[in-house]
Amino acid sequence: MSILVNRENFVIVQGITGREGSHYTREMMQYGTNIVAGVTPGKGGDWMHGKPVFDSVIAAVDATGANTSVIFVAAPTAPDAIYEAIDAGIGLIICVTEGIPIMEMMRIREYLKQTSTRLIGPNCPGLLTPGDASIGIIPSYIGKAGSVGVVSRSGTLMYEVVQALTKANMGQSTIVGIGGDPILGTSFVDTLMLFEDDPETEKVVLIGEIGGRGETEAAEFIKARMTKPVFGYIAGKTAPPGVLLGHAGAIVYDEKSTARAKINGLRAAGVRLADNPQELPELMQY
Amino acid sequence: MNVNALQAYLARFEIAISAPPTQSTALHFGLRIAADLIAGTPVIAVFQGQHEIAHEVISPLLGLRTYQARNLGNTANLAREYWDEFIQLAANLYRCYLAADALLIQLEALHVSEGRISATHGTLHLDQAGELRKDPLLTEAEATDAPNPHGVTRESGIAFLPLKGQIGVLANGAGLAMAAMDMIAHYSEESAHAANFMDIGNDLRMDKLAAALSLLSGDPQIRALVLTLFGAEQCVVAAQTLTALPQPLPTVVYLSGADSEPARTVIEQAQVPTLMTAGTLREAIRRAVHAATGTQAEGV
Repeated sequence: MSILVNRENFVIVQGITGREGSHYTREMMQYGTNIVAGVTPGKGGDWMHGKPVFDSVIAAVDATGANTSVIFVAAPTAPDAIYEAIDAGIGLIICVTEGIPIMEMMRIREYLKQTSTRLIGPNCPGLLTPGDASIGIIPSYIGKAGSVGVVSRSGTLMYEVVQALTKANMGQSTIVGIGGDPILGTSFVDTLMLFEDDPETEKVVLIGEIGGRGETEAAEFIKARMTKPVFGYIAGKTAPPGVLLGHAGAIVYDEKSTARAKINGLRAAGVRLADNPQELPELMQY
Repeated sequence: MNVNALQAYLARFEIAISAPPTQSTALHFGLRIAADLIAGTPVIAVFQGQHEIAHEVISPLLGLRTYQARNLGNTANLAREYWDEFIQLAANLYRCYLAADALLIQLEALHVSEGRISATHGTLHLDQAGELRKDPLLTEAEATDAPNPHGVTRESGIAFLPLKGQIGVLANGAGLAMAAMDMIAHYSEESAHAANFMDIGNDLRMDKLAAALSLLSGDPQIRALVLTLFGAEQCVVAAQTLTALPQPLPTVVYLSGADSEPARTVIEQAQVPTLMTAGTLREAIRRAVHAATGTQAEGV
């Protein structure tokens, strides 16, 4: 009862010997995620949390049959880490790293089009299928297994929503943080398609914000194709125009990227939106 | 923007910015390369003032093709004798765009003199993710009207933008900070507004919280503070920090995470008169609105 992530993912951690990589590897393993190896160039032959460390992704794939990679390496080397995972035939890449330049992401996205690899992120908290597996940094205790699919550009705001859902006894199928950057590997629409096709997902929650066209494209997709009810919250109604607010993608640069335009578009597509992210469960009862 | 810095930076790519000499020929158009964040590609265009004459989409993998530059020059009615020079200029501009990690680089009012094309003015906007950039000349060369950025300061992992309201906002996470700003306006029925945007990032270390609070304490328009923090397992640490620091203003704290209950107890037992806790975002915002305006927010 999930999309993208379950115990069938054989996961490698790129940057497993770094502070974050090591910390979250332990957390993911404790949750039951199938971590099979780590990659840190120059540290091949070491062990981390009982898992072998390899010098390259291809060596890790050959030895373990890994099909998924989560990337924690620093921004200057993250693009190379993504290409390495793509070229090694990894099917699902989750890039947690923040601060990859836009031009690098434009190249990566273009390169991805020629492959069957899916990239989540960058600058994203990853995915959590409650009760099953966690890939990334989402605090796993907030989730509860169930039938609500959650997709968000924002991290902690999404955690608040998920906690509220859990408290209201509305469990989640999969929680997907697509990331706060302007150029993303996986969009709202891509994720909505997966939730629409997932037999275990009954309702979907979309958490958006100012900047870009992701929510507007989602509204068009929902109107044309979604049969499952979608609920949402959009942050940034009071954001001043022309200023980047924290996320590299959160900027109002034209009328269409305002929170108001997104809210109007989503409402017109039949999405019910909350004024308070914690009050989404109340909206979803009816 | 420092004109000399921009001139010096562009000179590295053999692009000249200069006032047109008397014997020069004006071309009546400009050339720019900008990141199209919707399409996910760079786009090169020739333009006249606000009007775009023509553009070509640049493949992020292949880069600018010679024919694309030639077609732009042709569409802009550039005389054939200048095509080679124009193609070179476009190629140089793309090299510069890549090297600078630019979001926009623009050459205005092109003119030709002795067979060379120069621009009268230039504009540069940079990608903020360019922390990979090391060149101080670039920062000086950037236009002050760039769609950013410089409004928001980023120091020691704290993103901060002062606004005009009376309630200081401190959150960890950009989305959570924006949500708090929106809810202040919503629950006060627009009678109160956020005094700032502030995202202190994931970790709630003592020095970071202290630095964030001291940034807000310098703003005389702030009447109350609201802290919305997703602490994971750091709520107790955050609560201990907050009770140890001076809290001159009414401060409402919403802490959520695995240890939020013991964290609330820490704050309540410290009995700091100005420090209040809230169990939900709604309660936190309403209490802060009440403290700042003296009026009861809707439904309290």
